[in-house]
This record gives sequence, structure tokens and C-alpha cells, in this order.
Amino acid sequence: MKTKVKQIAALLLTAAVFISFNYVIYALITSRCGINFETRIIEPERYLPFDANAGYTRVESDFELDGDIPVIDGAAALVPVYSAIVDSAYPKESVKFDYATESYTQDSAIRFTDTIKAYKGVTDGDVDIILCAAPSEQQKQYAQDQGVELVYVPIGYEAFVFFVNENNPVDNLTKEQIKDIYSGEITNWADVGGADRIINPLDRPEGSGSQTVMLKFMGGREIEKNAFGIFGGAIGFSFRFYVDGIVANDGIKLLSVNGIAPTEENIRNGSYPLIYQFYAVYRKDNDNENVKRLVDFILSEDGQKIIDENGYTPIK
Amino acid sequence: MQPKSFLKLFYVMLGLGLIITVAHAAYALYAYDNSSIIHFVSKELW
Repeated sequence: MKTKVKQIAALLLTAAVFISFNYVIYALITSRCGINFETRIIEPERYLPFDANAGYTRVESDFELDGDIPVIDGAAALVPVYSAIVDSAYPKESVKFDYATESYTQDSAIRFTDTIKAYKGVTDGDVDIILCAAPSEQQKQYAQDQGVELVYVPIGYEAFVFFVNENNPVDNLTKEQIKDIYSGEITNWADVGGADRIINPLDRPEGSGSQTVMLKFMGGREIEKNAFGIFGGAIGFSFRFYVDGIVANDGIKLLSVNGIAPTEENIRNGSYPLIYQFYAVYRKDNDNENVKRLVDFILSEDGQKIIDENGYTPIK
Repeated sequence: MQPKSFLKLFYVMLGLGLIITVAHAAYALYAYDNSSIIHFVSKELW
């Protein structure tokens, strides 16, 4: 009888160990990834040019391209801008969307990928012009290796932001504290006025616009990931309008940096300390005259209004 | 339960537990790598 009790206890204990371990993995990781299993979380249909219900702001313009229509692509965060540009300046028939695959077709004048694919596409000559943040060192090197010279025309400004869970008590960090967190010198939220909890500094894929800006922000300091960070409270980074306007997730909050919140007003008056330019990028040897006409349009009053009305700060 | 039967049952349970745990851990790592970080942070427990 005693042996039987011990046997049953051993079996129950074994089951309990596995159930507990799997529950911890589920609570810390699986349940938080579940319904959003994509790196890119924007549906291109939401920003389909010429669609009456599209999620960008239209700007009326007399400018319209004809002839050889440049293929445009860009960063996911800038899709409202380049969709609105296409709406204003492109002929309607140049936009071809396949509803079955929920993507633009290969012969469409607008594409929707991301910064990494857009830089490769413009360098390889698959697209004519892209709207993106500055290139990473690898992207510059790739263009150089292909013997391609890219032209970067600044067209607007955007704030680089850091975000945490809405229930994290920390609301502000200094630039130096952020660098210390990402280089592994500060590892607990209590060291920056928060709760006694490990900091989980999250980063982005190499070559993405936000990762490139982050590396520039770190100024040569290595990003160190905390091996036990998953048990702690996370901090992430992105561009303001992507977080606040496109994804608009109520479960997170943007942090002030050096005491300045990343509001539209603070970006426009230049007081928010992390503001970066974004660019129209094309190959210098691209002989399609419409590429330069399009860049001139983006820098015109109407073009800058498109940037302004779609969540970003114009360059002019 | 005979010791032999108990050991058989114990090893079956251990094996199943390990398979499920390894598969779950692999899935969790893949999901973590591919998830939107905004969504991931928003679901954090405080």
C-alpha cells in the first residue's frame, strides 16, 4: 500500500513539474505572441490608394504623372505617406492589388514591403523610388558592392520613440539611461525609478529602419541582451507615428526622453531630443524623368502637406 | 503496481512530457522571434 502511494505521488509530481514549466513558458511568451504572429502588422488593404475608405489623408493636387510611372515602395511606417502620394500623383490604373493574396501585384506601381526589402529593391533596380529612414551600414555596403550610387533626399522628420507597457510606472528616461539599459549597464527598472524588476531591452531585425536609427543613437556602444530579460519588463523602440497612429495599441505608452514627451508639438518645435530625417531614395543612374518629377512634387507645398496630414513633420 | 509496470508508466510519462515541453519551447522561441514587439510589450503582466 505504501509503495503504491509513493508510485502515484511520483507520477503526479512528474506531471506537475511539466505542467508548471509549460505554464510559465505560456504565461511569459506564448500567450503574448499568440494572435499577432507577424513582424509586419499592417494590412496593405487599409492603405489602398484610391480606395474611398483608405486609412490615409488625401490631399488634392493638380500634379499627375504620365508616361513611365515610377514604382514606389518604402518603410512600413511610411505607408500612409506613399499611399497618399500615389493617390495624388499616380494614374489610378497603375495600382494593381490582388485581393486573394492581399498584396500588390508585380506590375503594380506601388509595392508594400519594408525597409529591408525596399533598400534591396531600389538598389537592384526592381523599384524606382523608396521612402525610408537612413540606410544601415550593410545597406550602404550592398549598394557599393553592386556599383550603385543612391541619392537620398530628405523629405520629412519623425521622432524616434521608446515604449513600455502601460502599467510600467516609469514615464521618463534620459538618453544616457536608455544607452545604459541597452548596453547592459542598467538591468533593473528600480535603478531608473521604477519597480524592482529586470529590464528586457527588445531590439529589431538588422537593417530595419528603427534598428538602424537605434544603432546610430547608441553611438558605437554594443547592444547587450539580458539572458533573463524575458522574466522582466520590456522596453522597445520604434517611430512615433507607427506606434501611435498606425498600430495604436492601448496597452503600451511612449516614454518621455530627458523630460520631453514625443508629442506632435514637441517634434515640430524641435524640443524632443530624438528626431530623425526620412528620405526619398533612388538610384542616381535612374533615367526615368518621372522619378525626379515625383521628388519635386514631394518637396512641393502639396507634397509636404501630404507628409504633414499623414502623421509626420514636413522638411520645409 | 508492479515495479516494472510503474517504471514503464513513469518513462512513458517522462517521454511525453519532454516531447511536449521541447515542442512548446521551440514554438515559443519562434513566436517570440516573429511577434510584433508592440503587441508583445502590450501583453506584459505587471
